[in-house]
This record gives sequence, C-alpha cells and structure tokens, in this order.
Amino acid sequence: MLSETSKRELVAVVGGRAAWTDPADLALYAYDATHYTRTPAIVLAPACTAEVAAIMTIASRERVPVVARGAGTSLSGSATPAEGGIVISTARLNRILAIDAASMSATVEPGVVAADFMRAVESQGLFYPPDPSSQSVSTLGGNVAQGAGGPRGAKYGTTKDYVVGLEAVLADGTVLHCSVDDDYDLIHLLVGSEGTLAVITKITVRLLPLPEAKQTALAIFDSFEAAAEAVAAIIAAKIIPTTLELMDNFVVRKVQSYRPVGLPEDAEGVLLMEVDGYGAEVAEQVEEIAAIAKRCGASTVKVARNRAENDDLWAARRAAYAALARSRPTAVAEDATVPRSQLPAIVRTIKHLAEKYKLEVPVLAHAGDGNTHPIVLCDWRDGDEMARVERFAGELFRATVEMGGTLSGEHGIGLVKQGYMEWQHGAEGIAAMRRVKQAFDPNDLLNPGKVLPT
Amino acid sequence: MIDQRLATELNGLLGTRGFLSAEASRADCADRQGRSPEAVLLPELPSEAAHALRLASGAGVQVVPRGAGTSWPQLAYAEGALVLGSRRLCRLWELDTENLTASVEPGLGLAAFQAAVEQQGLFFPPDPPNAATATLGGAAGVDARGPRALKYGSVKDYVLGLEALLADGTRLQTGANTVKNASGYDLTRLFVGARGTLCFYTRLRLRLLPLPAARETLVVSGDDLAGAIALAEAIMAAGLVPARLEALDCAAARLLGLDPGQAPRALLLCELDGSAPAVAAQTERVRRAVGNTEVDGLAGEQAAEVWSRLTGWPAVYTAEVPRPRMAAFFGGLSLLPTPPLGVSASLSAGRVRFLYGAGNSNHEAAAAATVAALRPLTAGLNGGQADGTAARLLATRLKAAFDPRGTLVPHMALTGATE
Repeated sequence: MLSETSKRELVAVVGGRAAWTDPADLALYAYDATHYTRTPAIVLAPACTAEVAAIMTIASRERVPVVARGAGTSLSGSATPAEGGIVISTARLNRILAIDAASMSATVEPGVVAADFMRAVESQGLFYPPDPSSQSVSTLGGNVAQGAGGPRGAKYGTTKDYVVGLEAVLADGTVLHCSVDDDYDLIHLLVGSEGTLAVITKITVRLLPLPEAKQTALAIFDSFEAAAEAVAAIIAAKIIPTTLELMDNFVVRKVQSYRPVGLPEDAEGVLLMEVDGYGAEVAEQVEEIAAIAKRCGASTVKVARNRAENDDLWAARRAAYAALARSRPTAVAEDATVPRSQLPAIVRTIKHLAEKYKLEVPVLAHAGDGNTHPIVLCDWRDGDEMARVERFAGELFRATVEMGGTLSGEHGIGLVKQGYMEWQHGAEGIAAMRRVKQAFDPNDLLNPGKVLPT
Repeated sequence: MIDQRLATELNGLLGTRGFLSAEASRADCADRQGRSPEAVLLPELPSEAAHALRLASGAGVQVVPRGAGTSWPQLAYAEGALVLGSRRLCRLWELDTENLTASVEPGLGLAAFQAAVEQQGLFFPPDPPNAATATLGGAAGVDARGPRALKYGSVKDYVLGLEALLADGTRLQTGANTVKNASGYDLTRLFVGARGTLCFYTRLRLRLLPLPAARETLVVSGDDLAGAIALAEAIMAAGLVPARLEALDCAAARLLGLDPGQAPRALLLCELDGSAPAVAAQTERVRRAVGNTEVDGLAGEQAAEVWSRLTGWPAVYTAEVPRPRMAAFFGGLSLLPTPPLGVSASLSAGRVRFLYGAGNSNHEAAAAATVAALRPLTAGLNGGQADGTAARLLATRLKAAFDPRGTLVPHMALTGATE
C-alpha cells in the first residue's frame, strides 16, 4: 500500500498538475484494450528521465508496483495497472529528439504517437516500417514494450527489427543505457518485455529510405482455401509483398453491413496485397501477383491505378476491426502465429473450434507471415460465454504451438496468455525467463504478474 | 587438470572420435601462446553434449564452446579448461522452401550452408570475413556480420529460434518457427552474440530470403579515399541502400586486380541487388547521385571474384568504424607511422581493414604501430558518451543467473565490473 506521505512525495516529483489521485481520474487509467480492470493508487506523468528515476526510487523503497503506460491500447492486458500501484504515463515524454538522415536513425521519447513519428520521418524521405493498426493512437514506447508488428511485417519485420538503442530506468531507479555494443543484447530483452524489466525513457531506431512507389491489388476468392493457396504461391514465386491481408467471409459480411465497400457478400476469401519498391519493379510485381491470384482461382482481381483507387481497396481492411467490434460488446483479438504454410490448417482449426464452442469468430490474417487474428465476438458480462472463449483460446494455442507457432506474433502475452506460456517455452524456457526477470527486477515491482505464468 | 575419473567418463561417453586427449588437443586447437585445453569434446548428438556439460560443470571444470575457431585469434585457454566443439554436430536438418526457413546444427559450415541455400534459389545474407571457414554456430555466437550488414543485418536478424544447453546441461528451446514472435523475453537474441558465455547451441532455426534475381557491381572513381567516401555518402543520401559499399585506396584496388588508373587514386565498389527493374532503377540513381564522376560496371564473374578476394583478404588490423564516422576517421589517418599496403573501408559493414600482406614480420610490427596510432581515433566511436555502467552490471548479473558456476568460456572476461 502506498502511504499518504509517499503519495505526497511522488506528487512533488512531477508537480501537482502531472499527478492524479482522484477516483474519477484513476478510473480512466484502470484498463487497456482488454476487459481487465485494476485501479491504481496514483497516476504520474513525468517530464524527463530524472523524474522517472525519482519515481522508481520511491516505488522501490516502498515496494509498490509500477506499470508504465503509453496510450493503453494493449490487446494482451500489459497496460492494465497493478491494483493500488503506480501508473507512469508517458504522455509528457513525447518529443521527437532527433531525426538524422545521414545516419538513418531517429531518437524519440516513449510517448510519441507512432503515426506522428512515421509522418515526421516520411517528410524527410525516410521510412519507419512497423505499422500496428493502433498506430494513430499507440505510442512508440508501447510499441517497443510489446514488440508491436503490423501488416508490413512479412517484408519489414516488427518493432524489434528497428530498435538500436534504448535508455531505460531500472526498478531501483538506476538509469540504463543500452547500445548494440553491450556485452549482452539488453536492447532485445527490453523490446517485447511488456514493461516488466524497466521503464523505457528514450528510444533510438534505425530508418530506411522511403520506397519510391507502392501499389495495391485486391483479389476475391470463392473459397478461403484458394486465397490461402494464393499466398503460398506468391511466396513460392520469390515475391515478398509488403502486405498480404486475408479476410474471411464473416469479416466481409460484417464490413459490408457496417460500411458498404463493394465486396460481394458471398466472397469466401479476400486478399489485399501491397508491394513497394522502385517504380518499375512495383509495376511488374503487382501484375505478377495479380496473375498468381487469378491462377489460384480468384474470381475478381482489382489493381489500383492511383492513390484514390488504392484507398478504396484498403477501405474494407481499415473498416474491418470497427465493423467487428461494434457487433458485440466484447471483441477478443487473438494473434496466434504459425509457419506460413500452416495458415490453412490453423484457419480450419479456428473454424472448427468456433463451431465447437458456439462462438462467432471472424478471421483476419497477416497471411504473409502466418499471423492470424481470429476476433472472438462475445460479451464480457456473460460468464458462460466467456468461459467458452477461454476454452476456445486454450485449444487454439495448443494447436498453434503444435504447428511450430507462437502464442503471440505481435500483441504480447500480458495477462491474457501467460497461462499458456509453458506450452510454448517448456518449464526450462520459463525458468530461463524468470532468471532474466530476477536479474533486472528482483523485487518484482515492474508490471508484476504479467508475461510469466503466476 | 581434469582428473582421471572425469576423463574416463567423458571418453566413455564420446568415444575416441569424440574425445581428444590433452596431447591431441594441442594439435587441434592450441592458442597463439601455445596453450591448449585439457581435452577437446566433440559430441555427435545434442544428448551427448548435454551429458558432457553436466559432467564438466558438476566437476567444476570450465568449458569453452568452439566452432571452427576462426573468430578468436586472441583466445587464451584458462588452466584446466575443456573445449566443447561443434564440428561433429553438423547436420542440415531441414531446408523448408515453403516457409523460407532452415534448421541446422551449429557445426555446419557457413559457406556450405549458403551454397545449399542458393541452390534452392534462397539467400542467407551474413558474410563475415571468415565465411569460408566459420561454422554457423560460431557465426551466431559472435553475431557475425560483413559488408552486407547495412542492407541485410547480421546473423541475429536471421535466427528465429535455438535449441541450446545451459552450463549445467539443461536443454532449452527458444523462439518459434515463425518470423513474428512476441511471446516472452527474447532469449534467442540474448543468446546469439553472447559468445558462448550463456549456452551451447545444439540447433538453430534460421530465416532465409529469396535470392535476389539481379546483382550489379558499379565501380566509381574517386580522387582519394576521402573522396570515395564522400561519393558513398552521396549515394546513401540519394535514398539508396546498396547491398555492399566499399571504398578502396589505390593500393588496395591494385591488390584486388582492379586498375584505379592514373589520376584517380581510389575506387568505390557499389553492389546493388534486387529484382532486375529494381537494380536498373538503383543503377540510374547512383549515376545521378555521383554527378560527373566516372561509373563503370563490373562483369558478373569479375564482380564475384573481386568481392570474394576482398572478403577473404588478410587484414592485419580491422577497426570497427560506424559509417557516419568514416569520413572523420580518415581525416586522422595521416598519423599512421607506416603506411599500410592498402586500406579498404567497408561503409556497409562499418569496418576499416588495413591490408599489410600476411606473414612478414615487418608488416606485423607496422600493424602493431598502426593499432597504437589508431587507438585515440577509434576510442568511443561506437558508444558515444552514454554511461555503460548499468549495462555492464546487468550483463554480470545475467551471466551469474544463467551460469552461476562460471562454467562457460571463463576466458572471455565480460567488460563489466563485479557487483
């Protein structure tokens, strides 16, 4: 428990206008994008690394848990506070410190919104590829903590492939500087550690030159299997598109009823494909993938000829999550990821399990890297239904791991999947991860009870 | 000294082909000072390696994991250490052309693996200087990289998962057979590059790329090394990421069989790869970026030959210099007491190599003088001003957490202070 004296001490660190203890304010920070709710004792918005360090020093002295928070869009519960703990909001750590075109890198504070950063680097002809769907609100600190990915992952990888330097505050208030020259790769221990090892205060990422051109095509299939086959055929042709987004019939119908985008209601599989690179190369590749889609049985293939057509083709995919989320009170977004060739098998498993547990589960997938997003539509107030969701998830994860896949491609483990961790990593793997946690945070103060099984 | 009982046990476990006595070890892998391990263990199966580690760590004996031994010329064995070698763990388990992945044992040669992969139209980019002799396990241990690092990264960027043994023989699996993975702490990237101080790999799951359909090497003439580097910067500033980018002084160019001509005294080699239209587009951009400077293309075979000779050229001294610091670094080169035979500056690897020619004692002395003269220039090039104290302390804690008895590679001191 945080004493009143300690609370006053914490408020003094950041100033009264950057600290909140009123129950109405605390309620705003009690949740993330999952359905978990835990109320913190205090929310603090430090403005510099020294303030974060001062907060951690007090927290560690008082043995009070701390959860760092960006925009709170976590889909795995990682940003859910600790009950009665401290929330460190990165809202005021929101400066882009440097964009260096010569060394093709940038340094930012963790509270910078991902999309703002992407626009800033693009205005200088540079490119930061990780593109989580939450990019217009989610922060880079959150993206780094979760190892966020996105549709471009197939070609460009995820956040972990871009972080080249970090500054972070350890549980005891020590400031840690990690670089690629360290004895051990601390950077990649922190990326994806979901705030359980340190509080990230500065991030250096590498950048790429902005591709000269990109082009989009959309293919409509009468069978989902044929769409999945087209994905395999494109990869077999040695083309790695930027994006290969797959939507099933369920998604198509929900999107059409939410915002008609001209997709046929009986489309069983829709594949949204984007390639980028040099102009001539892109023109050639987009025709090539369109031809492959047709060969694999697509009934319609549309290739965007200009930016407006490009946006049209993306409209369905962009509307998908909103269309699904509004149809039921709760949408549980899973992100089971399998080797690319197992995509048809895992989708069959999802359909089978949905039927078995009488659940509505539309499927979106970043097909190019085997990352599925079954969206389980449910109602968190319905205990029986939520129990079925839990059993559905358990069986799905079992199948995922058996196919050589991972519990999470890009959302993280958080509170949602920690119970399944041992299936993937084994008792020895979990024990090894505990050694890491112990080395960083021996008193278990940072985002306690997440990631590792409790 | 390992005692007779342990020696007998290890010998019984591994057989004559898997257990080299102290005598045989000397011939196999003595260090530069002539010290050699007490024995060399060469397991053929992961289970044998696990058993051997259990025995060694149980007996309090120190173990040095080793691939082909190409990376550590400075290696020195601690008194009484054993070498755990990977060269009989050398199977290529799987080359999955559908998922663009491969599963290999650590003792498989990097070059042999790359040849097998390319035969399938696939590509495993890491190209460290010792690629011809290195093993995949060794390359992963040091997170090897070469001239392709700028565009393609290092070994770490291609390891999806590991099967590894901790110091006490515990078997562990990390990562997954997927390109994306956000499940728990990234032990894979912790172990790759840990130089054998945290675990011994028994299997690596690697990611592959499609082999680029086209490659083109351009030769751009510069007035001198600084001029060639400025041209390289102009190419980068035009939004290009060449596959390899290397500035050669006049002498280095000649050593490679290239003719730098009379007036120009340095050459810039610029390799572009990708689809055929992408290579054409990049070539055009390079020509525009360097303005009036003369640009030639090297014929495919000659290009391959030049790159291969360049990669394998014996460098007496190698300095790690990040690309953005390269120009400043060469500003101070006039300080060199003995001019090297040639200098090659890989902008794409962030590495400068001083070529003196091998085996000549005068050259060795010149190299030593060069190292001394360069020290002030290279110090702090990479880290900047950041305080690394906390990072070093954490490394020490991680080492203690994974290997509390200090079994693995005790000779390689971490830079950190003890807690």
